[in-house]
Amino acid sequence: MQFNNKFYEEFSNYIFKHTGIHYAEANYYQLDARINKLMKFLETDDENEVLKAIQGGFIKDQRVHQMIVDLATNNETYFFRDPGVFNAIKSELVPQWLEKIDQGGKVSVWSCASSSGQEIYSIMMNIEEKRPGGIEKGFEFKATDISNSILEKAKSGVYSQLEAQRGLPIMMLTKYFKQTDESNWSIRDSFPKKVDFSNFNLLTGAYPVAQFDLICCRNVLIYQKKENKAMVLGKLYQSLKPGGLLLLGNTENTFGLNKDFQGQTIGGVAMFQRPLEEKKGAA
Amino acid sequence: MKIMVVDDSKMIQALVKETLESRGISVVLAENGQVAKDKLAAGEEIDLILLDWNMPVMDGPSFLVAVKEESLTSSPIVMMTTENKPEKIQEVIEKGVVEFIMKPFTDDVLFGKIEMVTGVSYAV
Repeated sequence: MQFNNKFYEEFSNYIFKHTGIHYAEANYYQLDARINKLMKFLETDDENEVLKAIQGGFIKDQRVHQMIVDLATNNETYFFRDPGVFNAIKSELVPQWLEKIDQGGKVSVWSCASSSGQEIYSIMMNIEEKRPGGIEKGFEFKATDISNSILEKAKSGVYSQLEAQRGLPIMMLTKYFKQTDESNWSIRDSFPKKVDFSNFNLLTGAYPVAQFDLICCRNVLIYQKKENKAMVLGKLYQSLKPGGLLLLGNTENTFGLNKDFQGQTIGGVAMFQRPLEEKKGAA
Repeated sequence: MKIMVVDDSKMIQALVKETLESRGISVVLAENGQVAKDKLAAGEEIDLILLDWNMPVMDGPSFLVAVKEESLTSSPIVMMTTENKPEKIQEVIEKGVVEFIMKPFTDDVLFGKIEMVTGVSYAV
């Protein structure tokens, strides 16, 4: 179904206002499937009904709001996405974390756009591979997303057979998951129990201060405008402990957006550090 | 890279062949374990084997035992099957399978597993 430009404009404005994701006019066609899904949910084939529902950028029905957020955000993820990144975490970061914990310290990891949880669970599996039972002592895991429905899925720890195969070696599947029925696999109960899941909007949320050793924000900011990228990076910087690391997507960096981060190559992967000793005048 | 697809389903053979060839991988087909074994015995050089479980004449697990006994190949073998019970998976891992693809699967699962086993990325 094709819609008129005024309608696309209202719809994309709503998405931009609430998620920061910008749909340019040339990309309006990408909204078609999402709008159709929403109309099905509203049980209408009249686009004016949708307009009414989002009039003035305010949606009375929270379910409709969540549905639009879900439709607009890209939940694409899989286990050990970008194997090089997880090899670096396993070989370089996990040993440092375990050492820190052995000396009485705490290690906190935040997956800030966690989607269905594969990222945080992959990190946890890496820790378990180095030290069985390791996630139980000294670690704190936080996973947030803007979409409630995807957070529910992350919390459940249940994945379809297809999802459970994407990126996950078979030895890890049989070790950390159990088959719940013919077509679903569920991660070990102790994993979701250890994670603090919550809804968080990177543009408007109140960020924790100086709390994390690692923040993963991979392939999230690519959808944002430059000023939003800079704003989020500034806040993520403040959320890191001095010496903490930010992990961005393979094609992303902080250049031209934030001057405080110090680029590091760890295990062949670019990471961005909040320096232990901050420059004078740094935020 | 050259991959041998051992599957009695003509449809799976055609689909997997087309998918692999679309990324520049050569494909050798075999409709059951016996045919695959004969090809290896005749000196066919293969980088990876995708192996179905249930096939007439010689099934996947029997093929695994046979190639091991006769030292026919040192190439990695990936099971590609509708069998998905943990004990079944364990059974063939013990027989030498290095990865496991559960049907149905998508091309990114297929190429993901190929990358896990060979270290070669075919991501587009």
